[in-house]
Amino acid sequence: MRYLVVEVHPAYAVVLDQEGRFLKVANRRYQVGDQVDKIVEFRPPRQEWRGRRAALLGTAGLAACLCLVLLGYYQFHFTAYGTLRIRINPDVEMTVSRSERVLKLSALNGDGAQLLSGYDCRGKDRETAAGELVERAIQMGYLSDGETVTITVRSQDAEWQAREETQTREQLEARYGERVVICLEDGEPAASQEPPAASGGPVGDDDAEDDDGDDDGDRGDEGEDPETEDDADDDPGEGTGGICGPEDSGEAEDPDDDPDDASPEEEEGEEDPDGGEDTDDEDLEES
Amino acid sequence: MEQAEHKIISQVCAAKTDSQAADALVREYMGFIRSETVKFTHALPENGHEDELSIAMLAFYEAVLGYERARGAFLPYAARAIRNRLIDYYRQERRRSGELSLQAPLESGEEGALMDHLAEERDLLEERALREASREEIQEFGAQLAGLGLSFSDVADNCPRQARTLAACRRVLEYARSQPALLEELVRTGRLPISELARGSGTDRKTLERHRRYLVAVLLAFTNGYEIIRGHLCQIGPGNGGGRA
Repeated sequence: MRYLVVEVHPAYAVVLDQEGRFLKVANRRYQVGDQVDKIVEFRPPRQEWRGRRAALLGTAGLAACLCLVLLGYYQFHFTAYGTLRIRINPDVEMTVSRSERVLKLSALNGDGAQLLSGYDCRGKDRETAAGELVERAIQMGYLSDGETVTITVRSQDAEWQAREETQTREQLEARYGERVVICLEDGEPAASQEPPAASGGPVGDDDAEDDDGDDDGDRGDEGEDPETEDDADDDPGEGTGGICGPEDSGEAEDPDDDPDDASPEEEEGEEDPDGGEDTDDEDLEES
Repeated sequence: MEQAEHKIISQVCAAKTDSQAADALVREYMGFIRSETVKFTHALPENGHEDELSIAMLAFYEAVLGYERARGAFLPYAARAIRNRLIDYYRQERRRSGELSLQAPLESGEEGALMDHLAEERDLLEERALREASREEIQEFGAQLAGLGLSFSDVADNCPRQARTLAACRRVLEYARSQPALLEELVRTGRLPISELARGSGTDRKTLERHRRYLVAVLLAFTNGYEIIRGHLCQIGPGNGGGRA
C-alpha cells in the first residue's frame, strides 16, 4: 500500500491510501505530495469507555447499596410495628414504628376525635405524643385529677410490646402520676371486674398511694403490680384492674372511682387523708 | 505549579478541536518531546533517530486528544504515552528487521530507512517532478475543501474505520461517478445530496450523514482535474494490500 501525503503538521500528517482512506500518521519528515510505504498510524484514544464503564458500574453498585440501606432505614422508622391505645374517656390509637415514631393517630370514639382535632403528631415519638395527648386531655377537661388513663400496646413482637408498655407507663407516670392513674391493660378488660366500690377502690387507692407516698417504694410496688396486673389481667389485688377494665366503657370507671374517690383521688392529690384506707388497701394488695 | 497546570490543561482542551492550537502546543513542548525521546533512545534524534522523534511527536498528539482530567497531570500522561509508543515502535522494528535480514544489512536497525533511501536515489529526479505536481494538485484540492469549511484533518477524523462502512462509501462514490449531475451539484452548492445518494446507492442514510465530510472529500476528488489523486486511488496492485475490500 502506498500513501500520498496530503497535509503536514508538526506532530502528524494526513495521508491518503489507495483504497480511499484518509489517515493521520506520524510525520516522518514528510512533505505534501510525498508517496510513502511505511506509516505509523495515529491511534485514537479509545480506553475512555472502559474507564467510564467501570466508573458507571461502580456508581451503580454504590447506588444499589445505598438503596438497600435506605430501605432498611425506611422500614425501621416508617413501617407500622405496633399500636398504642390510650383511653380515658376519649379513646385514641397511635400507630407506631419500631423506632417509636408515631405514624398515625386515630380516634376510636367521639371524644377521641375531639381530643385529636387540631393535634399534629407528625414526626413525634411515642413518648412525646402520649405525654402531649394526656396533657391535652387534662386541659380539655377529659381527664381530671384522680382519673385513670389506660395504656394498651399491641404488636407482633411480644418483647417490644412489653418494653413499650413499661416505658410508656413509667414516662407518663413520671409526668402525670401525681394527678392521674396510669394503668396498663393487656386484652379485653375482664367484664367481671370487681365492683369498684369493693376492691376497685382500694386498689385504685393503692395505686394512688403508691404514686403519692413512697415514690421509690411505689415504683417497686408498681413494678410488681403492673406485672401481676398484666399477667392476671388486672384481677389479682387490683381493684384498679377493675377500674381499668371498665374503663373501656369510660364512664364505668368514673362511677367506680367516685365512691372511692374521696379516698383515692385525695390520695392521688396527696397521700395522707386517705392514708387509713390506703394503708388497709396497701396491706391487702401487698399481700 | 498549579497555575502552570491549569494553563496546560486549558491548552490541551483547546487543541482537541482546533488543529492549529494543537500544532502550536506541539511546537511549544518540542523541548519536552525531545527530552523524552532522548531518555528512551539515549542518543540525539539528529544522529539517525529522527523517526523516533516523529513517533514521539505523534504520541504527544495522541495524548493531547486522549487526555482527560481524571488521568492526572498532563505532562506525565504524555510522557507515558510517548514511552509506550516508542516501545511499540521498537518492537515492530525488531520484527521487521528480522524479515529484512535477507537483505545485506549496512547498518543494524536501519535497513528500512536505508532501502527507502536507495530507492529515492534511483528515481530522484522523477520523483521530485512527480512530487511537485502532486503537491500543487493537493494544495488546490485542499483549498477547495477549505472553501467548504473542511480540512484534511477533519476528513481523516471522519473517515470510516470499519471495512464494511468503507465499502458502503465506495458504493456511494461509484454511484455518484455515474451521475455527473450530482457531482456538479456538490461542487456548486458545497452540500452533499444525501437523499439521492442514499437512494441510488442503496446505502443507509444514517451512514451517509455520519461520514458526510469524508464523502464530500472523496466525491470532490472525482471532479475537476485531480488526475494524480485519482490515479493514486485507482492504483491498486496485487502487492499493495490486497486490492479493494
